[in-house]
Amino acid sequence: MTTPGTEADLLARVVAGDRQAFDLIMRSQENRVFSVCLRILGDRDNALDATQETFLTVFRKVEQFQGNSALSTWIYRIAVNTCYDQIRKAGRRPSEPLDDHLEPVDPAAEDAVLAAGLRPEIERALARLPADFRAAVVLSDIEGLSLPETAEALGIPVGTVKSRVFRGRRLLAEQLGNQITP
Amino acid sequence: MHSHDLDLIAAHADGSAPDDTEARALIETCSECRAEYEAQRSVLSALGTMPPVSPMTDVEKAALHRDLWTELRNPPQAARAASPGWMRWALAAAGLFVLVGVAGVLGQLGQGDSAGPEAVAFADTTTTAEAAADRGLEEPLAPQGGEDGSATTAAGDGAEDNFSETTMAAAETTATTPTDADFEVVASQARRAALAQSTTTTTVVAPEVDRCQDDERLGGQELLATVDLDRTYLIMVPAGVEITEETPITFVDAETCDVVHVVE
Repeated sequence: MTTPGTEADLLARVVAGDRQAFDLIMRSQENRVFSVCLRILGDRDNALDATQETFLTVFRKVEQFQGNSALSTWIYRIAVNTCYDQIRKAGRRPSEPLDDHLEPVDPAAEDAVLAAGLRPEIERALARLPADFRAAVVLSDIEGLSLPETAEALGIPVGTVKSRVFRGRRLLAEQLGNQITP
Repeated sequence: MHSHDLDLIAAHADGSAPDDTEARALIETCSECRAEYEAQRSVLSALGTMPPVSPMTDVEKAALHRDLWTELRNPPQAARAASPGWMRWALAAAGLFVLVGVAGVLGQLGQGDSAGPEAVAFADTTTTAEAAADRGLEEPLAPQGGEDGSATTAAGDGAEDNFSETTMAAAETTATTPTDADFEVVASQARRAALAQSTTTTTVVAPEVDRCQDDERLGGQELLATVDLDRTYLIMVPAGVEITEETPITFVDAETCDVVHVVE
């Protein structure tokens, strides 16, 4: 992560054409961007393509960044839009499931939910959500962005984010059925 | 359950509610509200225990950086590289019909050769197709159906990779600004080639990743193809209409998104 001061410095250098500065920004954000893209798209190759496309767009539009949000949030927004484009162009839902791309979990750390085999189900349920609901849930509930940050990243009002996140969770619960019933 | 109640309960479930007094009261007095709260909590728990995705491997990162810098370091191809998605789609959907050979057409026109611009354009297209095939592409220039997005995009990628050399080489031969007559020749080629394609132009979707996509001056237009003359131009037509010999063709500077010329 970059501090605000160094981030502004890096951005100024990128605008001036310093590609080393851009490389630093990219390396600080690429894992999170890839993670978001993979969660939204559900396919590793597509997520890699989307990650590359995201940073191409970031580089080319960096002068348009106004500093009204965190740089990372702005990059998230580009990543989400890139994913939306992929989904729209392909006319498909994201691939499912994501199981092959998940980190192995330490069995000792698995809680009762995981032990009950819920993990693949939640992945599949997430993949079946409408793309706009899925993006909101991924950013808010998985990536841990606040509601205002999620709103910035999605380019929609906070109230709309709440609606998508809350209803997205409800849809997940409906899909998971009694597996999540305490 | 009212939307307001769902908001209160969900915000209480994730801890984002500044004041959860009302939510607590709902949960205590309303069984539906209590079930909603429990469902929200359960889903949050499940989402919170999802493991992180496998990060990019060193090989994947190296490929990402290499490919990205390759695109950024190649200024002559910047116009196409800036929007690999929609331009490559355009090329695939339109069968790569007009770009190759147009420079040659104009060059020949400039030399007073009026021996059929279509013949020149399509002869060159065939040559490019053969050249691409020689490099190992399967059906490198075949129009794609648009039903399978990933396949179409992949075909577009391959075509682009092999195509750019030819188009840039051709562009170098036409450094002068095209005349109105030049644009009319290209427009005619574009219409006829579109008519000859089984693929409709409405399969071309220009996403907002491209700088021109959101340009309000291009509202109601969609991309048919691109052409390299003295620079790269977008060839645009009214969105959603069937291409005919009368379809107006708009030429747009791919760098500035300015409308340069319209052939009615």
